[in-house]
Amino acid sequence: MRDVVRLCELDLSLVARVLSLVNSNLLGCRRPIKSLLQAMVILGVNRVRNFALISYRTDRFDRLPDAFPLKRFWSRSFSTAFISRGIVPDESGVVHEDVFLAGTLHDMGIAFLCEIFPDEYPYILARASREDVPLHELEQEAIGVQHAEIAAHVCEGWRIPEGVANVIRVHHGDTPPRGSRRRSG
Amino acid sequence: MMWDALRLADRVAVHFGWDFTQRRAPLPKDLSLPGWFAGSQARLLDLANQHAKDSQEVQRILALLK
Repeated sequence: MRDVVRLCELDLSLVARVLSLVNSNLLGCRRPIKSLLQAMVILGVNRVRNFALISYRTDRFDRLPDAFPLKRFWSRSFSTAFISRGIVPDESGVVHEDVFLAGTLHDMGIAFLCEIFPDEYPYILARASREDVPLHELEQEAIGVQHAEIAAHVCEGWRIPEGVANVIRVHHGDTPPRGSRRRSG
Repeated sequence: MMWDALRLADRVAVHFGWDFTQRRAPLPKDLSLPGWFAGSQARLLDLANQHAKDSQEVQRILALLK
């Protein structure tokens, strides 16, 4: 754990943002948390990892067109994260922070595709809004890849838990990822 | 279970018009809820409101990340 902290502390702005998140009233901590190590002990490594990833990721889309509604994008992602984490029962055995992470990152492929295809992708977005067609269908038709696949690929590169990446990959599919536990009863 | 939860949350976001593309689609009346979810569609929407829009947690996070 100390090694992880030492690595994180190489980026002081990252540390500052993570600490501002963990000390916000989001978590209801009564005592101020003054260091990453303290945050990991009190909140757990998974939760701090999520905050670090979110903090790191939210300002890294620096090649997006000016018209890209980044705030709406993150607002929607966080909404999905809170809802999905909130509906999973406490006794399920599922790591709630993994669910939250999946919700936060599941659509980030949209921003990546917009950076990769700055001329084409805004038209795909506009068409999805105008014609009320699911975005992933238009992506497949126009550029042959869906944002879910891109997001999952990036998650794998970040070594995010495999289960999270797999769920993100098929979040528009009709069947759960192979090997996942699906409780139906 | 994570897959079910993410897909449900995704559909709820579209239902409320929170979708990134501003698409809006009502939840289908015959939306099948997973067996582990104890409740109805109405409860799902209540939970969604509680955990997202009305809680203002999302806005707080966005403000902190500026």
